[in-house]
Amino acid sequence: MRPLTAKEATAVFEKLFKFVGKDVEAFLRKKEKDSYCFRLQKNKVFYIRESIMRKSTNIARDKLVSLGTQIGKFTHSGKFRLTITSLNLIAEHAKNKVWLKSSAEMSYLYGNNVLKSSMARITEGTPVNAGVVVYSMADVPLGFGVSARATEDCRRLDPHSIVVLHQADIGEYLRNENEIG
Amino acid sequence: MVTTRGRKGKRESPRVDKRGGGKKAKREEAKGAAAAKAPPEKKLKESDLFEEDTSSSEDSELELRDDYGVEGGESSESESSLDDDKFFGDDSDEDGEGDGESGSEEGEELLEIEKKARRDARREKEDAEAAEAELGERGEQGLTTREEEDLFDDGGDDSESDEEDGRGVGVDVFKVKRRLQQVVGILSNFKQLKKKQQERQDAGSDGEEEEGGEAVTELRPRSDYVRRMTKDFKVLYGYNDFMTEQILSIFTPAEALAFADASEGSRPTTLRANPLKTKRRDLAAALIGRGVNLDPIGDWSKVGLVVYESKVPIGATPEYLAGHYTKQGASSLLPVMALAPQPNETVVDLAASPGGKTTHIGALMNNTGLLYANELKKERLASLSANIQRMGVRNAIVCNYDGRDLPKAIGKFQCDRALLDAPCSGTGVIWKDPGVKTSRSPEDIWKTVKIQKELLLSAIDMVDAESKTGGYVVYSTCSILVEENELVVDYALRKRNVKVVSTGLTFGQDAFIRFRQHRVHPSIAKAKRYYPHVHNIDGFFVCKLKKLSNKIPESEVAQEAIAKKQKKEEKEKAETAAASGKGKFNKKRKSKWKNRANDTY
Repeated sequence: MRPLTAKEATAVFEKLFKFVGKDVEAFLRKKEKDSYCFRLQKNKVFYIRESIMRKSTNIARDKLVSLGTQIGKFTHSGKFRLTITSLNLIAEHAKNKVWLKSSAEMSYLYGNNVLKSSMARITEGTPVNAGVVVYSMADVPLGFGVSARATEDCRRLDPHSIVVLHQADIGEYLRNENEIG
Repeated sequence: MVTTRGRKGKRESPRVDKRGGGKKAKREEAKGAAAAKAPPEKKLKESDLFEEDTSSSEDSELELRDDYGVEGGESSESESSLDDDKFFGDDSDEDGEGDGESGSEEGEELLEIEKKARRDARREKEDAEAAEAELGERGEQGLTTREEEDLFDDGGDDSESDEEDGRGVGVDVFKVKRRLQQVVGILSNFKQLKKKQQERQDAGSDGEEEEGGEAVTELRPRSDYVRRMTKDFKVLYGYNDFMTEQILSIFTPAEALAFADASEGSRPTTLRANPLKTKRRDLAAALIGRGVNLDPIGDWSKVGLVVYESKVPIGATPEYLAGHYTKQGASSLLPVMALAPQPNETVVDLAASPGGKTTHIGALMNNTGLLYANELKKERLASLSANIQRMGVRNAIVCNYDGRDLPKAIGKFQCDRALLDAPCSGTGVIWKDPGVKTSRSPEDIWKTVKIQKELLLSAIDMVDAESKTGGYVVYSTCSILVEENELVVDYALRKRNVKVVSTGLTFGQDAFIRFRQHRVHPSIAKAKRYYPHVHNIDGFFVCKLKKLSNKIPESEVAQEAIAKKQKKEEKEKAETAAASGKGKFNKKRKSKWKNRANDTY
């Protein structure tokens, strides 16, 4: 386990910035007297309270599996991907949101893109290619993706066109549990 | 005793197990009985549905009455007065609400349909009771000659071969079950029967013969019945010798039967709502909206829900995936409730996967403090961390140590509380893995017990006795064996400065303090045992320990020093042996230990 290098940190923050905008600072702000930090273990990035991080230094590197909240992982080619485990964190600060009709929930949880017909609401002013968190009508975060259209365009779209490109959804906890852990 | 009439009617009916035979068989039996008797007899509800005949209810009670009459303590004297009137009289005294006479008294105030409904409900209850009670209670009154023969003679030969076939092949399951219930009935009332027999003998044998061939034979020695029961138990449920012996020694015969029956069936699906993400009430509402029929689990838990039926797969709803609840047995709520972790504590879970209990601890700590979740098995780590992430637990460190090495990694006396849900033989969850019935041997148990003892000591070592809020260790297993439970705790009491404290759980049976040759510390009675046939949850054991001091008892220090010295000497000896060319034995031994370290637990 080690802190992120400058390059890695840029990759991580750029990705988070897409979803939470300027609020990305909030991740490093102190919450209730605890400060939080990012750590890299193997190829995974974790977001943890500092006190927990210090305790975990006792644990041998090959024995440490995970800690705190997993944000994402670096691919072999050095790109950073957010994993579904980061959903709750980014949902707290999310800038752009999409709400699904309840009939379309299951389709999204099987890994499909969000179509215009399945969308119930979208945050005003969402640009193209922005990070979007997908919610159910009961305000339960279901996953996240990238907007394929801006909010204004959505009104004029035909029902079958894609509004949000799928990146991750909570169905992955069932579909590929092994890759999450 | 028994009416000749009633008994005969039963005799001529085909011998079918009442419960097992299904409706058709029941009806047949009812018909057969009716044919044998002058008044048309019916004792079953099903046949009632087809023919509106009020007289039938009386006959159905007659069946019961045979047995109740006896239960009512009519011994040798009553045998001479065996007219029906007597029976009717007796019975209405005993269960006054249960027969036609009292019904007709109320009759004026009730509508016909109400009467019928009441009658039906009553009959249903009686039927069930009768089926349960009949065989057992017939045992209570002693057996007639013919039955006695059934028990020992014809069963005696084929049971040898039955054992080899294991379960069922060529065995009349119903017959064996019936026989088993009879024997269990006898064994549960052996003392009374013996006494009765004595009385009968005192009264002289003349009275019995007057009954016309239905004489009760002498009781055999208790050991005969026990042997018969053991054999039948094995054949019927398919346990191996070792497990049969264990189960029969933990429970009374009747309980053992109930336990084995309960272990065949399954436990209800239960959920735990995740207070980190939702409230139980909201969750219940959301799930009911999806077509799930559920209820709170009981007064003892604020987060448990029990599912009766569901239209959707309960492990794949959006709520499940969002971490609003997790599927876990009711029994696995108990150790965490006993542990009662507080916010801002440091808690360690030594055998965490798949994370049901771990996430429960995390929720109770409200994501404050620190939670170590340890798991030895690599293949179970993925589900552990996935569950921790899904349930929104953010204060956990997941690690992959052998629990016995954990004190070295995170340090001694660093935690406020420790949970050890120890790897065990799984004898409490036979319904989940029926392989347990045949695969467990004494050697397996010794092996797991050894690991359990070591793990418990390591759990105790990690906890700080000086902790302001904690200093507790909870030990739990899903086993019913005393070796894995009480004896392990007793071992820890001797080895470390700990005491047993109340678990704080409101139900459950007290743990044993004496079992066969074992006598454990009396305080262990504060630990709780749970059984599938009593509480309808997995067979379970929960014990809460409070650490008194970080020091190890002096006698144990000395012993450990001796053991260490011996080990050292042995090692030296082995080394010298290896040096002198006798390395083969040593090598073999080493590899054995290596294997053991990798052993599953």
